[in-house]
Amino acid sequence: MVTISMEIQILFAGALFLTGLLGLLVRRNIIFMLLSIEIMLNSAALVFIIAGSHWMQADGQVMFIFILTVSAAEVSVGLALILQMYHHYRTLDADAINRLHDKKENEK
Amino acid sequence: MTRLDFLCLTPLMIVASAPIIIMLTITLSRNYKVVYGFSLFMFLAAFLSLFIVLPNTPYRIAPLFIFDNFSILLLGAIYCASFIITVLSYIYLNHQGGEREEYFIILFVATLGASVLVTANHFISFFLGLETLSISLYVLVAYLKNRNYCIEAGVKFLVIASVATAFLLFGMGLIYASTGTMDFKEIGVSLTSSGLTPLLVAGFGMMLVGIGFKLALVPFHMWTPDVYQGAPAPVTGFIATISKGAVLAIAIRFFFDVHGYQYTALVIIITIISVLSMFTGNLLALKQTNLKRLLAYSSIAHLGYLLITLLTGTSYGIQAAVFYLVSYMITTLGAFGVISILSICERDAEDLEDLKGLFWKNPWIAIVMSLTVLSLAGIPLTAGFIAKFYLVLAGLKSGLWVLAISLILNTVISLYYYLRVIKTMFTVSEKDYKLNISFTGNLVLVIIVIGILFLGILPSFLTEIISGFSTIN
Repeated sequence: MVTISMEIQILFAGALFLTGLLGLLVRRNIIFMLLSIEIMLNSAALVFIIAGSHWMQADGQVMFIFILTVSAAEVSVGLALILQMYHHYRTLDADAINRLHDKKENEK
Repeated sequence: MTRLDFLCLTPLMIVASAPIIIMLTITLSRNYKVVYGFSLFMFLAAFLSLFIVLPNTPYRIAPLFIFDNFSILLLGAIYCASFIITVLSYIYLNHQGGEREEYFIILFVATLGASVLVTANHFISFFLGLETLSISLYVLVAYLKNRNYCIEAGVKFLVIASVATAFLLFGMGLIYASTGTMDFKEIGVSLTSSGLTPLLVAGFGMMLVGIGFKLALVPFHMWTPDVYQGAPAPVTGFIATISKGAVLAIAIRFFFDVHGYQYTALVIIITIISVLSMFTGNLLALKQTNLKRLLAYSSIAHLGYLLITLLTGTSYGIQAAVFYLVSYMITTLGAFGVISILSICERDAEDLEDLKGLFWKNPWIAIVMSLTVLSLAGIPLTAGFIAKFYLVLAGLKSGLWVLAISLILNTVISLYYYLRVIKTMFTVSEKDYKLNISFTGNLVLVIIVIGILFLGILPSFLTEIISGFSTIN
């Protein structure tokens, strides 16, 4: 069996994290942004699995379960918020909700 | 688990049981006043139960929690602040219609998250505490869903805070991968033998990004003014005091346990972030006309000041941090308390215009606001002055000249916008509004005023308590 070194595995998780970050920055639909955040959280969870198997400890997997639980809670609150946002603005475009900002010179 | 374990966990268990009890009572019948009174009682009980824990310190519940003087004192500060925020929320929500009882449930859950954070010394408890705090804050920020601003602030806060969590988690994962432990102390031990490997540098870097987002340090501060402005005033007070205080507490504990101040790379990065936060926060606050945004920018600067304590690496630095946190909490609660009390149903009293002529209408409220603003600016005889003095002294003792000098420079810059707030209150205005402030509202303001003056005139009371702890155990 070919063993893959931990560095390569972590690089893979890093690539996954960057995919999520890129998706978050590029996408403007709020649901896709939430999905990208999930990818980032899961890539972090993957690092814990990798490290846990490297050190032969269960801690990594314990952390993985916690991350899954918490991200599920986060998504449920997130979706509820998005629902409210759709009620108010009739759009899922993140750029459309921009009423909060510093006052410019010419507006009052 | 032993009996002593349970004994030490009493404060956390009290705070955890409150939301369950409130939830069960709500299913039977809704009574806003009863829920409010019960919340006050539970926060008081949690605070008093700290005195049961106190004789047993330092006590470690392996592997997740540690109860030392540092965490007990901060828990006390958090419960006092929650108590005050409960009163302010009651007054604030009183003229909002709809279902308001759930607000207190979520307030308890958020406080529980903050208490776990303060007592954590392991990545798992760190992560769980932080997420309990953040997720309940998303709900609190967007609680008044009929105001558009609240939803917008909630969505922005959700996206930013979850990205911060992802960064923090990835950093933790990298540190775990290279050290093989998630315990703060053991990470420190393994660090001294291995030194900073590239993997660890990446891990610390990503953790710093995550914590930087949560504490709103430059360059991760963009979300703060928007969320501060959009959230209901008592919730903003919660974010500014309890949430930031708890995150800073765990950052201090982690940084001291791994001896982060010994590594030049980390010291340089944190110095840059600290100086940038001070200048950016204060300079952006100069032109603000919105009080909540002004306080947001000022909080960025204050967290920049507080970063100095991370780099001192001495017990004196920890003491300065605790003193600063406590006085900042009291002062900020005063400011948001006044905003909550002045707020009306449709909107918060957040524009500087709303304060115009306040002194001639209601001198008492204006005096409270002036005092909090003076304390934020660091004028002698207020808590803020002693706190800043303590901080500069701690910085100079550790030879952090750049940071100490930039703190003093920034205090001068910040005076401009703080004094503008006071000036606005003394300007005569034709606007007529009636104010009837409830007894409890006045009582809270009296407590805050006494706190600010007491810490400013007789700081030895608190300094003697906190000088007892030389290290973080």
